[in-house]
Amino acid sequence: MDPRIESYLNEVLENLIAEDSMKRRIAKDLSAHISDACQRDSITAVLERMGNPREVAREFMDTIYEDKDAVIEKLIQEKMKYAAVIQRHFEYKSKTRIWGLPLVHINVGGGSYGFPGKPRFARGIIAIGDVAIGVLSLGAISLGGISLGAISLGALALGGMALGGIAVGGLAVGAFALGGCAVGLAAIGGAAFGKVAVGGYANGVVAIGDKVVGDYTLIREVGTTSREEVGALIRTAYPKIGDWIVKVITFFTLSK
Amino acid sequence: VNEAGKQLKKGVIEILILKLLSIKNLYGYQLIQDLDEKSKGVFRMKEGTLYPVLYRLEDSKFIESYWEQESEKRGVPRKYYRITPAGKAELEDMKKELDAFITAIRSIMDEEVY
Repeated sequence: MDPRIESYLNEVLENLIAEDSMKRRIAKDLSAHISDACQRDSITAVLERMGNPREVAREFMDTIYEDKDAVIEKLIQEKMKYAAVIQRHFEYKSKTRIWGLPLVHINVGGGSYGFPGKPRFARGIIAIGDVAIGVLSLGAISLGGISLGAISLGALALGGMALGGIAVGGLAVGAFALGGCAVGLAAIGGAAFGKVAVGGYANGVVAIGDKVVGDYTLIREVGTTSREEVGALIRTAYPKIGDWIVKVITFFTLSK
Repeated sequence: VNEAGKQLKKGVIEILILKLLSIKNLYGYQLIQDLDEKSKGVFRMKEGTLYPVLYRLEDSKFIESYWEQESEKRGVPRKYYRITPAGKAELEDMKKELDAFITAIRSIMDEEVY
């Protein structure tokens, strides 16, 4: 499409208050219409004859909304939708403060329904929000000591995507990572990548699982693989590793 | 065109469109041209007026549309409109109403002032 026509159509649509389906209908028809008119005249002449895009949009609305009640109804609907977004917002901040932070801060209900809206931030010892930052944080995006969220970052992070000291999630990245896909010093998951990796697919210095790639490998077989066997393999690679770490890894290795 | 003229035109545009489509299938641009030429410029429609009326007629099932790619050279397909049986019946009803309307208006307008 000629850029002049495209820009003209865009300007008409920008100035048009109508349902998206109606806008698409108009865009398609006007495009075909201009194309027909251009068989006889130049693009410039056609667009000039059609007039200011704002006026074209106004004419469309004038005819579409011949019944003014329809316009009023539409505006009321829009207002109610907006009001619903406002009403969804909830904020609570406790008076008790620790280290300058509220003990509890809840701030939820950002923009949605196609309305622009800022995500709500919560900061507190216990923080719950669209974005939450706190010792204990819960949110779509959460950062903190213990964090839980779609995306979480923390000493202990749990979420769809978790990043932290101990990370548990669909995608977990951490010193100790447990998840569908786990990446970490000790990684346990469907697919695990790490110094010690345990999983369906394990790739690491020590790799234990069904499919293994590594320097020290062990194919896991339920019923026959023993705790001692797993522990011994890890200690061969890392003689100074703590007992509790070996115990945890062994627990997950054999709890398939 | 003054506001009174606009309103009068709006009142009859649907019947004129149905009439033209009862003769042959037409696309939007053609409808604008035909209305303009046949009425000697009285019904010079703007796009913003014509298309919403077409949508209304289409949504009421009085007309239907179809796209046709007439030649490879023409990148954009054409949207034709055709009248439906319901549209033909509506046209007949509208014609009767319009006749009665015009007769009534004439009888008032032609009345002699004493």
